Amino acid sequence: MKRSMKLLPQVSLSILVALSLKPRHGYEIMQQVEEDSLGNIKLVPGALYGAIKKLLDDGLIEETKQTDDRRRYYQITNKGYEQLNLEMEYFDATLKLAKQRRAFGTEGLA
Amino acid sequence: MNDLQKRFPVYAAMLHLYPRSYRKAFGDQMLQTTADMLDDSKGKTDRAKMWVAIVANIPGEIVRQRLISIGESMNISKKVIVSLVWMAICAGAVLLFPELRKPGEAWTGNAGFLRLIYLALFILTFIVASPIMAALTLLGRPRSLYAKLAKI
Repeated sequence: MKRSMKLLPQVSLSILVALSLKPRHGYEIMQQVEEDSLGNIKLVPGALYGAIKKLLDDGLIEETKQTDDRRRYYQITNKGYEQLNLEMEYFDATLKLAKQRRAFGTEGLA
Repeated sequence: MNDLQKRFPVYAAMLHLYPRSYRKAFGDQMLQTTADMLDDSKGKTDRAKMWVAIVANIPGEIVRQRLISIGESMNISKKVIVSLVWMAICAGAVLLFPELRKPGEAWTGNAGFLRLIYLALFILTFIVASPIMAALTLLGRPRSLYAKLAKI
């Protein structure tokens, strides 16, 4: 894992995860994020497009050519997938560590 | 004025408080997403909750995008102007300081302690931080500086 990696804020990471399956427009992203987080993250347009702007500026997502009359669609880029993989590696390692420590803790209590 | 701006005139007007470049890029999408949310809502209570959440988010997001926008579009003349604004804030604070000290009042007890904390925060925020911000705006990298400030 790269030591210098910068973890994304929760909302940005959730948007990347929502876009990892297929391109989506704003409201679809909001719905997917809410579903993925079991209702814990409810976005509003201001927060959504603030995060989308940052992700676009960082090259982690891009607009697709797919569009209807009114809605723009966004998709994850290769750089976005790389970032997502780094984040997953980090969370895997953290989860593994937490489980190990919990196991030792239980042993200590027994 | 397009259909969505006609449908949400107040919200569309509030979007004018965002930086122009941001509004051009995302203004219509924000209105469309709002329309999608409301069309999908179940009943008046649901819609009212959505509006409360949407409106409550606006001030913080506007400040954040304004700060990011300041950092993004900094040429030398803008750097000087923003630095002068920071220096003006500092000068204003220095002028206001004797008034806040309230020389006639006692500095003992809980009230005195609280006043001491307020004064310390005032000094740190306006008299110390403002000139630092002015210097960093003029000499540092304002883009990352204001992006970091926006995260706060």
